[in-house]
Amino acid sequence: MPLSPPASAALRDALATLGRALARLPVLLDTAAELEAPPDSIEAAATAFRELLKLETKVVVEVQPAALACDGSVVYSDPPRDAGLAARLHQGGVRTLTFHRGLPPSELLALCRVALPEPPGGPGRDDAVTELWRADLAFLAYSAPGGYALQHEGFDAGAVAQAVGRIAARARPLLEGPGVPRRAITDSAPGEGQPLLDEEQLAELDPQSWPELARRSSLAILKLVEQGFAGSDLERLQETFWRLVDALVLRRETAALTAALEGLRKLDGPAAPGFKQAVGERLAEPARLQRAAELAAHGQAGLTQALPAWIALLPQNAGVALLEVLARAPAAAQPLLARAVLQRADSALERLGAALAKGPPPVALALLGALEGLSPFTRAEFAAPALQHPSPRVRLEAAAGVGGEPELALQLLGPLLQAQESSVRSGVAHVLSGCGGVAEGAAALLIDTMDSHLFDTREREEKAAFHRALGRLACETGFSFLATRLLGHRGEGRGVFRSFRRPPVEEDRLLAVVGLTEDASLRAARALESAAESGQPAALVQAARAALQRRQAQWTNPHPALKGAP
Amino acid sequence: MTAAKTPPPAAKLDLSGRLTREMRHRLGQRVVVAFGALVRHVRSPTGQEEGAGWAVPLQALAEGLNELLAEEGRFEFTADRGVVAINREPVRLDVGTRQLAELAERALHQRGLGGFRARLAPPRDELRELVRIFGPGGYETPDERGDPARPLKVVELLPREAGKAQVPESEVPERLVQAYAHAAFFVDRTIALLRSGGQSLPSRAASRVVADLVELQRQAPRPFLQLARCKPPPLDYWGQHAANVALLAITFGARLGLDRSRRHDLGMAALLHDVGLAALPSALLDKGEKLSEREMTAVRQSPLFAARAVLREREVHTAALERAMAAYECHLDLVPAPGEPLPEVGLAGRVVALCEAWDALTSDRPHRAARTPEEALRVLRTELVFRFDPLLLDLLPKVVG
Repeated sequence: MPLSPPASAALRDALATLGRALARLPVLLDTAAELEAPPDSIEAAATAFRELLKLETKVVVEVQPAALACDGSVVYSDPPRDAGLAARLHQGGVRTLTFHRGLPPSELLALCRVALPEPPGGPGRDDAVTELWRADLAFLAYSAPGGYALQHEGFDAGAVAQAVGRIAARARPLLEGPGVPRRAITDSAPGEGQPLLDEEQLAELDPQSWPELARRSSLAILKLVEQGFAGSDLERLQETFWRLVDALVLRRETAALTAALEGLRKLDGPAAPGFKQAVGERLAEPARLQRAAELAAHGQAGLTQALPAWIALLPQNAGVALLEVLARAPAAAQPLLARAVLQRADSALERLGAALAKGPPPVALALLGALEGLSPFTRAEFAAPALQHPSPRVRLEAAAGVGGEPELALQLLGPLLQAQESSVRSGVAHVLSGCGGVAEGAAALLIDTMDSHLFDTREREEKAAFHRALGRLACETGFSFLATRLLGHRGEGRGVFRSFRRPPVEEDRLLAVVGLTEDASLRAARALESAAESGQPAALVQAARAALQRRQAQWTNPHPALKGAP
Repeated sequence: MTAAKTPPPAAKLDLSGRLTREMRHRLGQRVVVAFGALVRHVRSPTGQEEGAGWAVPLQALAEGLNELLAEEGRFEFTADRGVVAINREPVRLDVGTRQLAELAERALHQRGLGGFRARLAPPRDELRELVRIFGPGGYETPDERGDPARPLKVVELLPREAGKAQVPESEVPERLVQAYAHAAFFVDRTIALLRSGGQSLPSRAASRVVADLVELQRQAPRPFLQLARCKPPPLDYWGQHAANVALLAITFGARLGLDRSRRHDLGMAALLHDVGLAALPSALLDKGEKLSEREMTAVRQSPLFAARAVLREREVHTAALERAMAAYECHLDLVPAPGEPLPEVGLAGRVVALCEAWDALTSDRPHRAARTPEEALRVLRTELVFRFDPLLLDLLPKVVG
């Protein structure tokens, strides 16, 4: 019987409210994985349906490709240019919906979940008919194309009927034969309705963990590939593997993700390189890497477990993408990312240079930190651009990197001895003190600075750092400079040092003691002895004696690392 | 003198804040008994009059209902096919409770109702009105508020589950036979399709068949299991074998207490567990003598092909992965070979493994005759014991009867 005009109007209103609720649902589901209760929009739709079902005990609507119809007239249309409620249900095989009196909001919510578009990267779901069946709805019925739709799956209807008839003929006597008891067909034996396991046992036996299933499935795919069984399905299996990885990232399932990526990293066999490359290229897509960085930035500590495997799979041309991720990654993940960038430096040389010269200090520092372990020349080559960086900390780190290659250090570090920051000047002096291979040149650089007007205005701590650096070089020029400052003559030096800008004062002599203390040579010891025996000034004598004692202690108690050395 | 130690109070709520199973059973039983007693009383000749027959059960109903409302924020009582559920959780019924539950269910169904619910504590007068609906003079076609002349304000009546169409009893055997035959045909044809290079599994059709099987198992558990004894001729084995395994697996799932969705997963996994055989030549499958080592290796690898057939569909939702993994894992031994890691086998794989072995052992095969159920059970518990979950193996006799 056709709907009455008030019922028809109520149906249109109810479906329109449901359509609006459906449009709002993705936003809600995005913010709460599982809704505790139907949201207000669904409650509003349920109220509208309640009003409708006061007028009719049940209402049947036909599902068309982009509309819902009742009694031959359209009562709901999907929004233009959008696959809405009707389109998705129709596509999923649903042909009618029947709303019964008593329809609760929870069942409307279930319907909406089935009709929602699948989130990109999500694990997907069964077809709409199966999902509606799974939802076990009591007041919302649906119908699908008749029979088991085997003919819709490419089976010939005649062949289906013939084969099914043959099997049915074998099965029928078991239920309808003369020897079959005439008991009521729906009878069950006593106790049959009681589960054999309690809730706890069942939960232990069937944890129903999607990440576990995803992990095992990804490893099964890898096994198929490794054993050469993927055959013509290689690309499709690759796609499934990728979807698993993507869904694991989306769900932040780092343990399963790590296992899948580690498995891929260790994959062997003839098809392995191609498989790894294909997945690796997708792992390097900026959006994916961005997602990884975002997860890590949200405190996903587990992601740092998955990152090594992820990074190991990235192709050689992923340097730029990695650099972008590095800028947003949490501190814990930065060293790993920085090493990965440097391993792919050829693909991002220009961007890498810019990041080192003027990039954010954490990025530049992570990159400089990752240089450790590389050859001194490579390290110095990469670190050189960072000597221009505005951050003093970065310049200092860069200086240390350049210091491993003394010739280059001599060329590049001189200007930094005049840097604005005391920490940089002192640090660079220290770096130069390690350039033993070019000690004379390094000493000359230091002395140029130390003998300037400006140096007189520096803090004592900085001056001491320069003197220590000069002493540590233990070269002719350095010793000559320090000895002349301490004693007023060149001591046992060969006289390479010519003259001072001004005669040394007591502070200069005390600083010279500091420098000579670092010089392990015998001539330095003698210079200090001379100062100690000179008898004046008292402070100098005391400092020289203390220095000698310290040297003596170093010799009698050599550093633990030196004990036992020949 | 030391004070006697009092035992700690039993945990009332679980970690999710819901009532524990035992507590809900206790409250549920109280509500069932109280409501059943009230219905019995209101239908007795003197039932309409107030008195002791009303006071005690009314008090018990109100207390049970209020306690559930206080703990879980809602109260819902439903009764259908002998299962009484409180807040959607079935209540365990003993002999005494069962009679009252059946009486309550009959009374509800006679009024076209499936239960009632409340979100607030109803006053006693409202509970009296609720019970009177089921008496001889009660309103015969109540809507959600009962008698329109005296509508309930807090309690809401639930119509009998209207969306669920049950198969009429007389049609159940033929529906069962048809679903079974379609399931067997589906497997035979799927293997043939894959063998001829077919590119996708007809899983929608399979899903419909399995959904029907799950519903029919719920409605007619005995004939359903009976059908699993239908043995095909040896040369027409694989489709019916898979259908039998599906029947056994769905029954197993039901007896374990799995919900219908998980039973569907089991049924699908069972139907697809042997599709990897498409990778083997027919002659090998029907060979009447012992297989060579090379042939055995090929057979051992076929589960991976079953997994491949499912995994290439590019679906990664739980049900699809369950199918793929069960098809592969059901053929794994649970005891690892020396030096090998412990195989990981999910529940579907474990159930399908057991059902598959049971059906195979009790069927005629080209190389041996069918074994009796007793003999099959002995083989499972001795020669093949390393392949099965010990807990499930113990339960198998109860499942297959």
